[in-house]
Amino acid sequence: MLVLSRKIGEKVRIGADIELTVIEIRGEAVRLGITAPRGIAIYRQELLDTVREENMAAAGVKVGEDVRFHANASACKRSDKKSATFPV
Amino acid sequence: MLVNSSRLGEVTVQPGDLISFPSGFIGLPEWQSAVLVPFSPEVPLLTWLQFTHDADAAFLLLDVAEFAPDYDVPLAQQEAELSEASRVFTIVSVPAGDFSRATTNLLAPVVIEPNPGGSPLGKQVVLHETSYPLRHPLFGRDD
Repeated sequence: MLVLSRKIGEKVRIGADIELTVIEIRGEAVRLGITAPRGIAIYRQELLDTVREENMAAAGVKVGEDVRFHANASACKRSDKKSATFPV
Repeated sequence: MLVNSSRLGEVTVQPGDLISFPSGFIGLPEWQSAVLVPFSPEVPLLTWLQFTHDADAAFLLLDVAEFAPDYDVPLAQQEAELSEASRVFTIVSVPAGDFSRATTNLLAPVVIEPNPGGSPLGKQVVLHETSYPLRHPLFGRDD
């Protein structure tokens, strides 16, 4: 890992197209500004960790005969409600 | 060609059905080649995404546009662009095999583009600027 010290307002360039700026430091929190081309995904690491765990859990999914029971127990009309549920 | 699935047995697919996920999935970067296999004619909202590298590797996907027409994927703000022909799915989790408690990941949908002239291309995007839940119940609860 490359470790650099930057003051507020200073920038780091990554590759040809990515720029990181230290916007503000408040207590223990650093506010970073990142400019990158569309197509480069930028995420807080903990959000990726959360999604990864859910992907892992979903990858092991086993579905039994009960899926037909539950899915068809509902009326087959599309829900008009704003909240997303299987049609009830 | 034949794709082995531990859930579906051997599945016959056309080469053009193979979807390429160049970035894999979040936390699963090697999961890069898969086919869509309908789950059952009785449950049209569900589709299996069966990966070719491992018969056990599959996601159960929900046709989210049918399930939740108001689910608005602001992909123009994210790193993917939606076209008219884009298909958006969300991954279903089934805790302890109890489908009544199934949830779907509205926070990180799967987008598949037809890519005429080549293989369909897919990716998982994380809607980090929204408050969509990681686990949205498929079945509304009465409480």
